[in-house]
Amino acid sequence: MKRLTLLVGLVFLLYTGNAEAVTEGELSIETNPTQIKIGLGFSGQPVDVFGRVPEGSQLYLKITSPVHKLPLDKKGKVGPLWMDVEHVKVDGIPKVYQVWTTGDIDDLPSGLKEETGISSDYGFIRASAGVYKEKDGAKESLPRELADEYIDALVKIYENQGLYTLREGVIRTGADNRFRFTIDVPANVPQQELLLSAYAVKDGKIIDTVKVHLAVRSVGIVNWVRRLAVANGPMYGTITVILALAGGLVISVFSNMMEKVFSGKTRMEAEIE
Amino acid sequence: MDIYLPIARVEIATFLIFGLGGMVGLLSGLFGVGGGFLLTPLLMMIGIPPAVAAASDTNQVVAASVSGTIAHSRNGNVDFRLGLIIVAGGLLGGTYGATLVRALRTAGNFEVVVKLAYVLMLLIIGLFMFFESLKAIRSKGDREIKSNSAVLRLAKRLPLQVDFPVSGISCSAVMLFVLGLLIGLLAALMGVGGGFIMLPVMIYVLGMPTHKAVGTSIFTVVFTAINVTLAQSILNHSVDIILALILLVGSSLGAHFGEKIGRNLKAERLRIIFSLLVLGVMTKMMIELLKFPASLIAIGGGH
Repeated sequence: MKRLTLLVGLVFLLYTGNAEAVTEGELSIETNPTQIKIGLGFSGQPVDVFGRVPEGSQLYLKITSPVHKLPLDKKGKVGPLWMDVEHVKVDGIPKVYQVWTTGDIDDLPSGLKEETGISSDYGFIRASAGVYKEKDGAKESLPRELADEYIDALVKIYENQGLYTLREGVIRTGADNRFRFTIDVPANVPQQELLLSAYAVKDGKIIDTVKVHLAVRSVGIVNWVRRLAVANGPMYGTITVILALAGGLVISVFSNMMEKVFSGKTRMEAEIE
Repeated sequence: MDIYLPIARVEIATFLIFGLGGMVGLLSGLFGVGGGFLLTPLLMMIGIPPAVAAASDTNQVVAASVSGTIAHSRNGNVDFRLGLIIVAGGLLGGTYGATLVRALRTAGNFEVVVKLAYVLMLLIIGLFMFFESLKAIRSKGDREIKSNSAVLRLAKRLPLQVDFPVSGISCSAVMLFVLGLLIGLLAALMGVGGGFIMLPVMIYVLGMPTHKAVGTSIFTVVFTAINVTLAQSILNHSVDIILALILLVGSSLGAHFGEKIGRNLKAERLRIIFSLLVLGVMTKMMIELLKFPASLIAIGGGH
C-alpha cells in the first residue's frame, strides 16, 4: 500500500512538475534571457517573451523600471532670442514604460485600467509624476496644466528613444493558447530591475496576474567605471586626469617617433636644411 | 565597431568619436584653444547626454593640450614661466567666477546676459583680429604685432617686473596674474575654457609673437581643463572615461598635426584663420539664438 501511494505520488509529481506548472485558467510568462548584461559591446538586446494565457482571455503586459528624477529645460523667447527660460525637475516617472497586449487597451474597464496602471494615453504616468522648480532649496510644484506640458514632452523623448511604447494587439496567441514575441530593449535602458506585470483579463475581470523580474546589470569594465564614478568621484576624477595626461604624453612621443621614422632624418637635420 | 559608454549609457561608433576628437585636436594644436566650444555640441548631436558631453570633452582637452604643449615646446614656443603666472590667476578667477555665477543666477536673467555677452565678445575679437591680420597680410611689412596697448604701458609701471626671454617681452607679474584672474572669471561666467580670450590677449595686449602666444595659451589650457574635469567628476559624476579615452587618442594626434600645420603658416595667416573660426562660432550661436528650436522642452544638463 505504501508503495502504491508512493507510485501515485510520483506519477502526480511527474505530471505536474514540468517547467511551467500550468493548469487550465493559469497565466504563465517567461523571458529569454532572464537577465540583460551590459558590457562594452552592448548595443541593445532582443528579449523573447513567451508563455500561456488562460482560455478565452486577453493578455495585457506592462514593462516598467523603477521611478527616477531628472531635470528638464524649457525654451522661450527673450526679446528676439530663444533661450532656456525655465528649469524644472520631474520625479516619480519610470524610465521604461511599455505595454504589449492581445486586445485593445480601451476595452479595459476604467477600474481595471487603474488597477493595472495601463491606459492608452500614458494617463497613469501623468498621474504619478511630479514636476517642480527648486528655489533656495525649496520645492515649488507646478500646477497640473503646466506640469502636463513637461510630462508630455518627456514621454515623447522616451518614445523616440524606444523606452516608452504602446503596442496594442501585437501579441498573438497560437495553439494551446501559447504566445511568443520579441521586445527590443534599447541600449539606453536603465541598469535596474525591470518588472513585467502580466494580466489575463476575461469578461471585464482580471482572472490571473503574474509578475516577472528582468534584471539589467552592467558587467566587467562598464560595472567598474559606473561604481567608481558614483562611489568615489575624487578618485575617479584623478584617474581620468592621469590617463589624459599620460595619453597626451604617450601619443605626442609616439607621433614624433613616427615622424622621424617616415622622414628618415632627425629634426636637427631638417631644421638645418 | 560600436562601443557602449558606461556613464552616457549609449552605444556609439568608435571611429566617429575618434574622428571628432581628431578634428578638435587639430584646432587645439593650430590655435592653442581647448576646442570644447565645438566638441560639446557635436557630441550632443550624436546622442551623448549634454552633461556627459560637457564633462567628458573637458577631459580630452587635457590630453590634446598636453600633446600640443609638447609639440609647441619642441619649437621653443611655450613660455612656461609666463604661462604659470597666468594660470595661477586663472584658477583663482575661475573659483570666484563659480560663486559669481550662483549669485547672478539668483538675481535672474543670468543666461540672457551671459549668452549675449559671449556673442558680443566673439564678434569684437573676431572682427578685430580679422581686419588687423588682413592689414598685416596686405602691408607685407613686419609680421608680428608691436603692442603698445594702454594695459602694457600700465604694466611697465607696476612692481615685480619680470623678463620673459622666450616671449621676448618684459611685464609685471602682477599684471599677468590679474589678466589671468579676469580671464578665469570670464571663462567661469561663460562656461568656456578661456582659450578664445587668452590668445588675443596674449597677442594684442601683451605683444607676444603669435606662435609663442599659441604655444603658451595651450599650456595654460592644460590646467583649466584639469580643474574642470576634477570638479565635474566630484560634483556631477558625469565624466565618461571610455568616451574621454577614445576622444583623447584622436585629439592628441590631431593636436600634434595641428602644431605641424601651424608651424608652416605665417603668423598673420594664422591670426586671420583664427578670426574666421571665431566669427563662424559667433554666427552659429546667433543662428541658434534666433531660430525656432526643434523642441521647446529638452532634458537638462550640460553647458
